[in-house]
Amino acid sequence: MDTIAELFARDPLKYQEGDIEAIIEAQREARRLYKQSGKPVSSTKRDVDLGDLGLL
Amino acid sequence: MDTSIAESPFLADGRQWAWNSSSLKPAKECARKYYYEVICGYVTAEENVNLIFGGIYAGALELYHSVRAAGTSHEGAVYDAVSYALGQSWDKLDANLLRDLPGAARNKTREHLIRSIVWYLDEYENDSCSTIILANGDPAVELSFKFQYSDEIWFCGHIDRLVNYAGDHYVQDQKTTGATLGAWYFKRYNPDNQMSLYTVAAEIVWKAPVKGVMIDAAQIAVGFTRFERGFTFRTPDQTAEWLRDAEYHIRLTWQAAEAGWPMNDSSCQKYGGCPFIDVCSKAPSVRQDYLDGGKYVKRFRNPLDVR
Repeated sequence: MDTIAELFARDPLKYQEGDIEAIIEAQREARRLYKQSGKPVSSTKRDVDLGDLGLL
Repeated sequence: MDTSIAESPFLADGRQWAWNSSSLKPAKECARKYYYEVICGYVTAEENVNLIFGGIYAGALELYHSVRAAGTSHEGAVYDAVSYALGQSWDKLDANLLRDLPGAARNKTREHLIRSIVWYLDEYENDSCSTIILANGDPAVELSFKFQYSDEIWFCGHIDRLVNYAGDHYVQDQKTTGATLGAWYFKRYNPDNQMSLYTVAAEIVWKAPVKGVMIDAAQIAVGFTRFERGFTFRTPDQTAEWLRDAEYHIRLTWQAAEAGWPMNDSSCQKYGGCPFIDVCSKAPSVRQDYLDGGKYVKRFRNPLDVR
């Protein structure tokens, strides 16, 4: 199972279907968290489990 | 002067004839800075990071607006923009390599780039400003311009987008910064070399009467990206004055070459501190060693490059 950090570390030429969508959704999730809490967030440094985001 | 086959922004005698805002700005500040930055092509490592980050960020947003104008959905256009940025930034903007850089450049990581693009596009998904459609039917995005001012002076550059907002036309420019956004941040853009040139260019090249520049600024921080929109206005007599003044500074810069690129030492501490202060503060005999000592990279930017 790929984390967002792992997806960022992969050569974009080797992305598979759904990888870019997962990266976009992780950024949106981070934005929602930031807007809700008003506190800085990270969408990549923590190992976001795509399952947690409903992507797998 | 026939410039149709010219690729160099310099005349045979070495004088620059094609001027963009990036070369005119240091010329106005200090002849020595212009020499190091424009003639020699030196930039600091942190400025190089800022240029890479800002270039890909603006390119991704331009792509978004371009495909949106062609009928692509928001989701499809976000995908295209992010895909472009991931490809362009691959092997660049590595957080581990940026960690030791001074200033805001350390936050210009690849992850923060992608985050900022997605957040910006979602923030302005239902924007009340729209892309102007040019007379030839093309959307006014990714616009490179070049126009002649006098026999030996041309102005050139690149505009992100022309927009219609509340019934008026504006140049739209994307800025990324580490600075906190607010009225103080936007105040720096009037007077401002780049914003004045963009206003002039829009009116001369695309014959679009514009009120000024709409600046969409993104504050890039460790855990968030925050956006704010500001405006800077120019009247026709202000832009005419800017053109006259620009010619004056260009002619002074031409003369500076013959004088050995004299230093303007009253500018060294301004603008957040000149990036070449550590070079100019050394004896002339050792300055080249400092330039080649690793703090600077060579990045020659031809004002005539078309995106």
